Amino acid sequence: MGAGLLGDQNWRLWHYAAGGWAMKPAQVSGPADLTGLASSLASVPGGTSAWAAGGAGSYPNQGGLILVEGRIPT
Amino acid sequence: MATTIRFPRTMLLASSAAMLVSATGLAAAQATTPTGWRVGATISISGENIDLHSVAAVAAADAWAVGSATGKVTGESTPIVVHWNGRHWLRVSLPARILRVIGPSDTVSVIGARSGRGALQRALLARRIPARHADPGLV
Repeated sequence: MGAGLLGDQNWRLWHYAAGGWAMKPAQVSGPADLTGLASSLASVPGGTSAWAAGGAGSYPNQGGLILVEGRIPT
Repeated sequence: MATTIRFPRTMLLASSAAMLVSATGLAAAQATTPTGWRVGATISISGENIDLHSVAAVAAADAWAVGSATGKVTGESTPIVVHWNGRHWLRVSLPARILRVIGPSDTVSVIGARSGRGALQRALLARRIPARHADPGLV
């Protein structure tokens, strides 16, 4: 599970493996003026890509945000 | 600390209906940026604040995200569901009177609630129907 911010801050991903949780920052690329928070992750079956969903911007101008890691699943 | 790769503005393609931004431009550019987290799409609706809170992927060309759209003036919140068809994230219509969606789960069922008689809310499970149909089916 991961959550974090775009912009100048890293996205922190937590990964459970071998009986423990580990965190590492993950760089997210995007428009410099786009800030957002991802609240959900989903791996793509049969591939190495993953989607993340959340929101970008700040109230009262917030839009939905979809992030992708790896190749675009098609 | 983080290295930010700036996307050309043209990669964020707002639709004429002011609804969704497709990932087409991103897909075209993936040959040079195949890895790392990056913006796949942003979703906007005129006059609404959008927040997506859950995403699930069934297959490469079949992923779902759900959230809420809140009117900037009215403050009223309605559920929103978007679907990845392998080329675009597109909004999917929901059955009437759905108040909130909580899913999707791994099977892309959408759990929510809708108003009933006497102002009661009833639990609801909506499930996607197979093939290429856009709308989820009720079960």
